[in-house]
Amino acid sequence: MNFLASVIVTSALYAMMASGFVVIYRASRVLNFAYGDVILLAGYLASTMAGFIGGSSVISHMIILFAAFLFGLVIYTLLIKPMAGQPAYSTIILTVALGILMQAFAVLTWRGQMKSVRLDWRAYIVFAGGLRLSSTEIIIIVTASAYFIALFSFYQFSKTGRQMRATAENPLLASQRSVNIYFVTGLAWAISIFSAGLTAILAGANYGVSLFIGHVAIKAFAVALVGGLDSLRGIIPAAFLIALAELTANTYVNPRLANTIPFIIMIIVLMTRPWGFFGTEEEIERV
Amino acid sequence: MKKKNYQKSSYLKTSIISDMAIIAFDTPFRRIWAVVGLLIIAVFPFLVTPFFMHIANLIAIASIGAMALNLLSGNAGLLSLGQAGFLASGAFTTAIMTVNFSMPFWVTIPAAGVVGAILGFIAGLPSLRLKGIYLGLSTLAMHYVITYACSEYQFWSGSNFGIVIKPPSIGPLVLADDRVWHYFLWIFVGIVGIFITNLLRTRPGRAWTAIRNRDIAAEVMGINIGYYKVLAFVVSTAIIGMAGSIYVYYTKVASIEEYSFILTISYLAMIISGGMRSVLGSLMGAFLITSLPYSLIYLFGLFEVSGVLKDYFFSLQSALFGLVIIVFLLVEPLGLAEIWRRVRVYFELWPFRYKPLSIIKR
Repeated sequence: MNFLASVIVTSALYAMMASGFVVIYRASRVLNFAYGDVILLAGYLASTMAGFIGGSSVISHMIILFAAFLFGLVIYTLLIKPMAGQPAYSTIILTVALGILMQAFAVLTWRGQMKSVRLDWRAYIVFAGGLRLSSTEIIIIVTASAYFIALFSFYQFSKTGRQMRATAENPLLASQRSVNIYFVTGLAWAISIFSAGLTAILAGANYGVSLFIGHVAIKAFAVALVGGLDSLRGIIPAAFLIALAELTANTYVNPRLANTIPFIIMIIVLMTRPWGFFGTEEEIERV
Repeated sequence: MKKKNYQKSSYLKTSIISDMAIIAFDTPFRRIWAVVGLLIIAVFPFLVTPFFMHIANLIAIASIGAMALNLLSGNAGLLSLGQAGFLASGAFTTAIMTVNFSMPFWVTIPAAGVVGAILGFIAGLPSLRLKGIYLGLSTLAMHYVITYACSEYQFWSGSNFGIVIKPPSIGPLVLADDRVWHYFLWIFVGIVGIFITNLLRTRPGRAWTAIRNRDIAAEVMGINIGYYKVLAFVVSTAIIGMAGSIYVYYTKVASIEEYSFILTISYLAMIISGGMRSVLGSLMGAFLITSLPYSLIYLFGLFEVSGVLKDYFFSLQSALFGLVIIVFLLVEPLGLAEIWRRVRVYFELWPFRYKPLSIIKR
């Protein structure tokens, strides 16, 4: 029972990270390798800000989330937009470079220490059947569910969300129907970095912020790919599958295999069904 | 009447033979400089301190790997994020063969090449179905699987700080001195460089260019796409495997901690800053990226920078890599080789400003 609960908590975090990849991939067909380092930086900032401002940590977390949203827009405007027309892998390598730049900044500032993010509510709750959850884990599950409901309904019902779906399907046609591609893509980057900030706060509260968090984000690639890089629906089952496989390997074999098993699943999916569980098949350019 | 010795233009090609000549030995002027360059490499070990000797050797090893990666990601256009994994496969093949079976180096280096080629074949198979980002991700997954296998070996062999490897030897001759290494390495760089240059101007190289530009058009022209894509992987990873093997012989220790994703990034930084699709660019990029951290150390020593910066040297180094990549991608995507070409063209045409019509962008 407790094992299942920890699988659900891990998969909630993975799902939120993977949603960041998917939102950007849908908008601009680029993978954001700087994602893990954004989470690292946001986590450190969140832990420092909370101590700096004092009082309730909710205010500082709100500031962090707002700043993350703006930071996404800034990255898009300064770095990604000028790369239009270059081959996709140049842009990917650019995000890699941005990532190591941010990581170096985080290490220089916080010296690679382990920090934890403070949430105000701290308790352990025992449910029926011996299930024991900490308050942080409950917050993670509730926030992730709320975030996904908000994201889905934004894509489904709002006008901008419809424009974003149109852009994801065919940017050329969408721009001819007077969708502002730059705005839509910039918004996608902002949403993605926002979700990175959210993940940073939640993961930082549960596991603590350390350099290891970047590696967790790379595992979220596997989640995004297994679910389908252009599919938001696929994230949740993929996150559950990968979290289950990883924690099983961690319990029964060893942690080294646990760190590798997401990539083994990813290779299997790439060999058999490269568009993922729910991705569109046309997304793969056939060779 | 005295015949004047005019400089031959490098654009005027009067025969197929002159068009096919390797560009470094094109004109008398270049031939002179090629000889001077070789002489510099030959006398270099007797002029410098061991510190610079060590850097020169590291540059040589890095340029082998960079040339191979450039062949794969630049010329064939197949994004590979598995460089560190392939290097690790060469390194650990060497470790297993020397420690467990005590094989000599003239067996292990080719064996590392063969293992690299097999892994490259496996990594290349997805390229039959996948393109671009998806292929990059599959090579990234390959990197994690290889490093996992290596870390299991390192864990069970009980050497957590790395496996110690004896220096290569033939009978009583032991390759231990950095100066002897210098000649060995640069001869190897020369062989690999000429091999790749020749490969690129024969059928496989032209096929890779065609596939990179437009794969459907290449297929229409009768190129077997699958074969040449896998061939690019096999050739490149075989060389990378040998480079990994030579690297552990040189540093005398194989540790999986070294082969992280950041190593892949530094190799990508080499080919981007040096110049995609250019052998000369790979050498320039390897020089720039490898010497950058050491010039930092040198500068720190010069200005007596103490404390914080020195302690966090490695993060500063990776920050520099990031900065170099971003600047080159935004300002000059074709890298140092392109800047070099432009400078050359400027002086060749001086005092005129316009290029001859037949100028080929190399």
